[in-house]
Amino acid sequence: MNNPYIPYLAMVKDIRPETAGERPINTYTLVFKDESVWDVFKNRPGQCAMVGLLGVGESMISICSSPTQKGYLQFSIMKMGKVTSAIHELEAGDTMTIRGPYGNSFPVDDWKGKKILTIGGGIGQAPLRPIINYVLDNRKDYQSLQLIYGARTAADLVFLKELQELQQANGAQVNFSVDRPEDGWNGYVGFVPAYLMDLKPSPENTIAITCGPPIMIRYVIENLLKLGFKDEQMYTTLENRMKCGIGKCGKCNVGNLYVCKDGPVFCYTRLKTLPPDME
Amino acid sequence: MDTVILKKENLIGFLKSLNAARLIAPAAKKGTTSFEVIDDLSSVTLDLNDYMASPKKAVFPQTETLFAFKKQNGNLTIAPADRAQATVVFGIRPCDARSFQILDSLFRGDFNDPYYTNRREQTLLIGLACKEPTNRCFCPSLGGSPSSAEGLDMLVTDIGDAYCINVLTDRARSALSQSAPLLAEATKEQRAQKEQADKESLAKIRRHVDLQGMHEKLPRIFEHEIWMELANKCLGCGICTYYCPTCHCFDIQDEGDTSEGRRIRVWDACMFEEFTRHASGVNPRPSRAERLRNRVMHKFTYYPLNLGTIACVGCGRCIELCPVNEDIIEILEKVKAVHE
Repeated sequence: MNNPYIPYLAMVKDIRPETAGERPINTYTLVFKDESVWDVFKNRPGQCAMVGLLGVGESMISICSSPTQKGYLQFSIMKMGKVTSAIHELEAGDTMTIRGPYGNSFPVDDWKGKKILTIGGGIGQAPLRPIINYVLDNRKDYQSLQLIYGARTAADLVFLKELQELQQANGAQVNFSVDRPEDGWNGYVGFVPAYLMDLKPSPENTIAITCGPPIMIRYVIENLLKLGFKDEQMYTTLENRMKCGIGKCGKCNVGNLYVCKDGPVFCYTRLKTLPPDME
Repeated sequence: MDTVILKKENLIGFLKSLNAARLIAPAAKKGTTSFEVIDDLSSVTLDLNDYMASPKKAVFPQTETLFAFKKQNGNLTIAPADRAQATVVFGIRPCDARSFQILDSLFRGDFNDPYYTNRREQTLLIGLACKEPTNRCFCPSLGGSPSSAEGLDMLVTDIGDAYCINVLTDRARSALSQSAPLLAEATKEQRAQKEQADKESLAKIRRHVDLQGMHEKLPRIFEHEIWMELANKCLGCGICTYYCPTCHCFDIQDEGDTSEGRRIRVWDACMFEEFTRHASGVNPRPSRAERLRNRVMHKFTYYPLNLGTIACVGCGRCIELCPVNEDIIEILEKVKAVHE
């Protein structure tokens, strides 16, 4: 019998530090120890997985690589609680566990022919990365790609190098912001929702996807509506504390929906019908 | 032979004849009656009327191993927990048997939970009709009754000088293959006695709540101040969840260290602050008001929306055991009284 609680074993192939400080973020590249797992593990952009360490526990983390990146999975993990702190002690070659993939995904195929706009804040850029990579790997299918991405300081921006490279290649427009002025920063200074109003992207044939702190998401959506975006043009992805990943443990519900299996991706048409059961 | 009679003095012989690998039945313990794994058949008691807890743990233990793991010579192995033993649960109340069906809809739903399902498949349920419903019972308001046979393999009814047994499933028939010498076909009079007993116990139910329109109303008053008011006296102790036969929320934890240990599942409670708290400290249900609201809405709105059934059987244990007298019927009545 298929047992959804038994994890797959994976090896840490690479650890890339993204940010430093008290709560550093690393991007972990994991490969399944048993390659036949790929026959059943079919991740789509926006899905999550339970990553963990036996003897410590598991955390639900969004898969930040795109399915077009074959043979490995990537997770950008902030050192925060018990499990993620233990993960931050790992070295390349160590063993981790993976369960999943869980939840729904961004309907990237329905977005073909459209302009893609991602609006991220902090570690919230991680769930947006598979969209960006998927669009880049299927560039001809999408009209354009624009990123608005902000963090508290320049040192808190994840994927900085690869996102800077995007600016040159593929005709993507990348707009960075930081919350407070700092030496050597030539980009926008201020919060992401304000930067959005500054840039005024056109809603015409555009899909906007936002992820970041709940307060940022709220104001981004408010501002997108002001810019003329329709409900069905806006998407976000939510998170909550989770244990099972399959809608049984009762922790991650927002109203009658479970973020782990009915989410994490919500179109605003659905999001706005949910009770205000989140921060 | 679908309605049979068992003499009261033959109860132990009857239980023996079932040849259960594991028998779970009510036994007197610490001044109350609780469902225990029975080694000594004489410890089974049907005298005490009131069970503190449902036998939920027979299919969903308070703590269970999901798998064990071990690292040896650099190799990590994962060994899933053993399969469940064939089990007879004897003496389960009709309300608690209905709660198993409610749990089924969750654990057997879109993602099958192999631990629960395996135990459930291995478990035969022999119910005991309630002769003396308590003053907190309100099962008829939830579609049940003190003599409901729903979800049972057999139903036992005390008809005074004997037990009347309704044999309800093929599984029950096979379980009774060795019991025939102890059983007699029920006479017309005995069947009438059973019907009379059912009527009398139903008439003893004192509490009722009309749930018409409840699952639609709750979302409409989501942000009403009533939740603050209702949660005022709640201590957040979680006893309502631990004794609820339909509560199913759980936590998953690791025991041991990274070289050897086990991953376990333990009951958890939505009334605890930590239940939904993110590692960052953010909590989507930060106060008892949100947590009480979620518990009520989970049972009376979300469960009906997602799984087509209210997640309450009217056993009234949460009313009986709450240290500050939160009363689910009063809560529902107050919700109904809110003007929109």
